[in-house]
Amino acid sequence: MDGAGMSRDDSVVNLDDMAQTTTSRGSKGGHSPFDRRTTAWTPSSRAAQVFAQPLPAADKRLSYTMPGIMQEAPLGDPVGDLAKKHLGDVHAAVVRPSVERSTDGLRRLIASGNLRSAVDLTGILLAAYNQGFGKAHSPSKHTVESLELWCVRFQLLMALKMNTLLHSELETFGDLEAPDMFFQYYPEIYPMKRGSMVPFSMRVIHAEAAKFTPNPSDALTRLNKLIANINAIMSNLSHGRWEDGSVGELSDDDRLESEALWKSRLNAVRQSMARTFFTIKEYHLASASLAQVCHSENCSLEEKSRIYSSLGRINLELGDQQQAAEWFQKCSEFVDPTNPAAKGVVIGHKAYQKMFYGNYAEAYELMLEAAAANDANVDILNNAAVCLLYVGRLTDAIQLLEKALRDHPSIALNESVIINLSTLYELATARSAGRKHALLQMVLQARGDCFNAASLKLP
Amino acid sequence: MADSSRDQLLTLKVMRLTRPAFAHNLTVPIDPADAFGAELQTAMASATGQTSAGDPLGSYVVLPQSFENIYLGETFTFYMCVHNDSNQIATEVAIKADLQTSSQRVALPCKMQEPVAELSPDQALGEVISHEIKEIGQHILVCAVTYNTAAGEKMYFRKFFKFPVAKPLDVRTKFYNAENDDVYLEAQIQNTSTIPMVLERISLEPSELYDCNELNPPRAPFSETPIEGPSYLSPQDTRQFLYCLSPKKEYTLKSYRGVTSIGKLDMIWRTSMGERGRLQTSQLQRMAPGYGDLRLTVEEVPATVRMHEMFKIVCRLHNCCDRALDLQIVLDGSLQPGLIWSSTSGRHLGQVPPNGDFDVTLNLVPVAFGLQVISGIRLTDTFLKRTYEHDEVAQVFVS
Repeated sequence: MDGAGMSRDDSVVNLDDMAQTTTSRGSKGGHSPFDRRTTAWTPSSRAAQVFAQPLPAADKRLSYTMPGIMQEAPLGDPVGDLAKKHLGDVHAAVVRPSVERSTDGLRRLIASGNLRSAVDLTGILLAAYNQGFGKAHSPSKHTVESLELWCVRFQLLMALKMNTLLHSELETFGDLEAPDMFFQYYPEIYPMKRGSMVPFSMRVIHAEAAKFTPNPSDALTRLNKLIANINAIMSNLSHGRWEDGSVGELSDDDRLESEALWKSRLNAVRQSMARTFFTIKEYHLASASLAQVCHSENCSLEEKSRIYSSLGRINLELGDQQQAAEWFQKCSEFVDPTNPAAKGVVIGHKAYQKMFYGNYAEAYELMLEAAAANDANVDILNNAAVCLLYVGRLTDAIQLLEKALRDHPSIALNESVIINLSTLYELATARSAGRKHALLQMVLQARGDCFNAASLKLP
Repeated sequence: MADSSRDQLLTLKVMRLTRPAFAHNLTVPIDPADAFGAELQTAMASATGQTSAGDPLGSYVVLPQSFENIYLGETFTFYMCVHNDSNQIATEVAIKADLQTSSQRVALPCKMQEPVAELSPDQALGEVISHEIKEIGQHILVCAVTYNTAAGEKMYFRKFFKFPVAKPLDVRTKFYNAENDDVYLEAQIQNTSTIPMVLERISLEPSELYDCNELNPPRAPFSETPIEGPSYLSPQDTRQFLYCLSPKKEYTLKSYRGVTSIGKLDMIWRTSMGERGRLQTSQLQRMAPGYGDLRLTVEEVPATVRMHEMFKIVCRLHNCCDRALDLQIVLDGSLQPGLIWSSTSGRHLGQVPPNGDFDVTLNLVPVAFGLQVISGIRLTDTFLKRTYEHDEVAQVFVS
């Protein structure tokens, strides 16, 4: 909850010009049915009370939500630092893209995997909205674009596992239900528009991020509230009303599209719930949430097979092979047989179960068979290499991973393969540094700054 | 660690092989209506190899990165490897591995212990070794390497790896004695480790005196949305198991007096990715309830009787001791106002040999309604002038 509102500082830059530019996400400030569907949200009672009265003039309006970024220093480049330290300046040409300071530049940084630089750029862009470092608890104005920037920033912070910073920056947003989070609060910018300016992703992150705090059950409370809100929206739709309950023109196609959208958003929230249960080690509740997603009518076959596979792995991790086998069986019923990677998935499941019982040699044989059929399942190659070590074939394991890197550089150059290979190098020789430096060189050239430097196991 | 590595041509590495673990994915909630979300997922996937930002565990398995706890009953598996990082050949390379605890030193089976191997520069030799952990407390793995240099000099070095072994389970037992000589054993098993475990099989191997009947519900058939709780046992949680032990027919009641061995609990469990553990308790002991010299059981008694209508009960007297008893029966009616004895009191019943049985039929007349308790049977052994009192032997409902 926000504290008392404060009046807007007159020295703030006029944002009305910025409000009209389109962003990488497409402006949701418009009036198309798509906009209405995606931004629909019933105002909280607190906000509704404010909207029931005539709003004060723009320069006298209160500021409820007063965010600001909480880290001034750039996030840095751990892989780049490792390169400078170990590869010497000649070889360590750390080429990170330089981009213009705009949302297009942001998009380019993200697409190239430079998520840390992307976070830094969101900080710079937010400063233009008077929400930069040191501006928390100072009044500022919100637009669709500024909130989308925050949303991107939060997604990046979560992906980078920077949970403390994420939590402290989320706090200034309160429960996302303050009056200044709604279009109704800015009639001069968004005339006649109703709904929430908060991107839906941000709502889910706001809920799920609480699982990393000392009170992880807050995440469950928030997620349940989200589910209740979504159910209310779907109930309104089924009664022929708009999502927020108001009466308006709603064609059958429009209603069906909206129902499909909100059902899939409901499933996204349920998966958030499952991940939260997983974090707090309530694995059977995580299972139940995921099973709910699979039972929902709009769950695609592809999603079902992905979730069933995930459930199988969760149960193997717990030690319950019986349960895992049932989930894997269900997965095989939904796997798309025309997909060449599909056979690999089913064999991969069998191999996991062999590994569970310590039958590494048999697991290896199975995975070799799958690799022969479709060599592009790099995870199978990786897992086969792990099995080789467990039967004492260290050199063969190294060769298998090195071959995977040569044959499939775009997929195989990932943290799991790299950490496994670095571990094998350390086991095989006391002079592993040179071989790990070669890996570092590959990562430097082909991956962005979000690559986990620790997986190289270099000091 | 041994410090003799300065002039060594070879180095030794040891890596514990716990089960590999699934990689943890980077997860971010994605709004299905947001095209940008897909772009972020792709970027994350290129770094980690994951196929989805929604699943907590990926499809890659990762080698163990840190030394996890080892528990009693688990199998200690490790990869031991020696490599030649010099530019000389090393000959007659042999490695011995011992596991030392506070009580003993066990030589681990190792193919490389014969000094026949030769290692050229950059060559390595390794082996996977397993050993079941049977003791708690500090363990030390001692690996000793011997070899000859090219000049024929004999070289030797050792490395030590210390690790503690903790108790994974706590077992508490409770015995319940049934009226018919059966004993019920309740075993409470608590997970005292730091990770969840699945109790794969908990069984009781009875001793030769008893037959065992397991009274635990079978595992519920698979359901996507199970109603019961989890199949796994979280740390600090306890699960109970019930067994019914019946004395075998071929043994007399005498064998079950005093302290008897019931049997052993055999426990098998699994933790992450199938890491297996197995423990057996020692023989569980049970103290039989004392019956004294003379045991009285009611063999026949009606459940309900009519008011003022006489009914009979049949009592079986069992001589539990080693000497013959010469019995006389006295019926004391003062303890049961609702029932009147209608048999002769003070009767001499005769001798009952050791471990022998004697049946006595007694008559009663009810004079009060409701649940009445039969008491007041006094048996005197005339040999030793000892009286055995039996009260509250049965109940009848008077209507």
